[in-house]
Amino acid sequence: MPSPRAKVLKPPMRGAFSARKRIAVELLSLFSRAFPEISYDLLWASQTVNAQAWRSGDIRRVTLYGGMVRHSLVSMRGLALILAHETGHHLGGEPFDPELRWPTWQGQADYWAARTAMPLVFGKKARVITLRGARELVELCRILGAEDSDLSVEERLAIFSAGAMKRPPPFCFYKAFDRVSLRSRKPS
Amino acid sequence: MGGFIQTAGTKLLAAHYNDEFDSYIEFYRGPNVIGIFDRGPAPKLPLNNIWDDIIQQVVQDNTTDPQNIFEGHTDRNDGLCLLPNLNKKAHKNLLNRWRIYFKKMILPQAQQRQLITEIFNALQNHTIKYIVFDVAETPAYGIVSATLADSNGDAFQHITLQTIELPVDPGFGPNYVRDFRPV
Repeated sequence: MPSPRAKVLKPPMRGAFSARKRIAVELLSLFSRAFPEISYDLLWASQTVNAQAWRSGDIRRVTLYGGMVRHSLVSMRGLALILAHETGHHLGGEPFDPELRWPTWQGQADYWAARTAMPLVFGKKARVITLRGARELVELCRILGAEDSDLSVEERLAIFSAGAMKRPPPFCFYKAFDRVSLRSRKPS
Repeated sequence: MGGFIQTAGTKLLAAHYNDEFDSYIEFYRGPNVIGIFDRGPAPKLPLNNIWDDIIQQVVQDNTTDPQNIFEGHTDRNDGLCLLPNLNKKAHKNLLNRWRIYFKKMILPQAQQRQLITEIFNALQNHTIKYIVFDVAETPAYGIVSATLADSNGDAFQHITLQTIELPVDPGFGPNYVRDFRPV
């Protein structure tokens, strides 16, 4: 069985990759229109299987890395949910990450992505796209062994699902946040 | 560094530095500590790399904290404040990678100097209540620093370390483990 790393570096099929790049660019354009206060970009050359919300001075940025766009397990649905999640780090509100300080906490970014951002961008199709995208992303994390530092894949799936179904955050959301809060050092 | 997949080690380092330059920022502003960050052309101290000249120099002891105001600041046996006290089994390569990142100039010297200058400037400015560190993978190395205000109206310095994608095998031996996520 090939290692997760081998899967990431699977040789490219040029046509398939250019189609994926086009989809990613279209998604970035959709999100830019929905959230003009965020600056979105694609770092196509990067092998990194991830996406990131970050700040450059007072500019709020979201970067999608090429390794994620090219990954065979992630379709347009997964990429859309990732962009919604990263946007959530900027706009998702409280609770904020007790360790990183400025971004919305990981679980809240997931919840806000499913409940608020996806419907804003995709309207009535949002629920289906979110639920399918969430399954892709959870599977990706499982295969890569990329356990998130704050949330298990099961917790993430439950939070995405609750947001998509317009339900309140599940119990595991609060449990995970308490875990992260306890882990962060407190001033003496 | 709000990533879709948040790497535990990277987050641990960011959490440590965010806490150091918030809860203990007055320790770093102390007369025997702030000078460590004051680097530049002679007569100032030179900066070869952050690991040797900064991280290994900031220790809590009778010199840096004579009145023991910040008791319990570090729980490391060596007293180093700018390194977290790690569970070595869970994070066995993290500090080694962090050391290589600075000592082997993976982060170029120009950016190392700029990073320390930005920290020093923020320490000198007493209207800055705390410093928040951010990291992002970008096409080129860079340090971006800005003074922002939080929801309470308090000024803080936001310093972003922009770093390029690291090579899979930079040739630094088996203890250097590069994974597929940002630094």
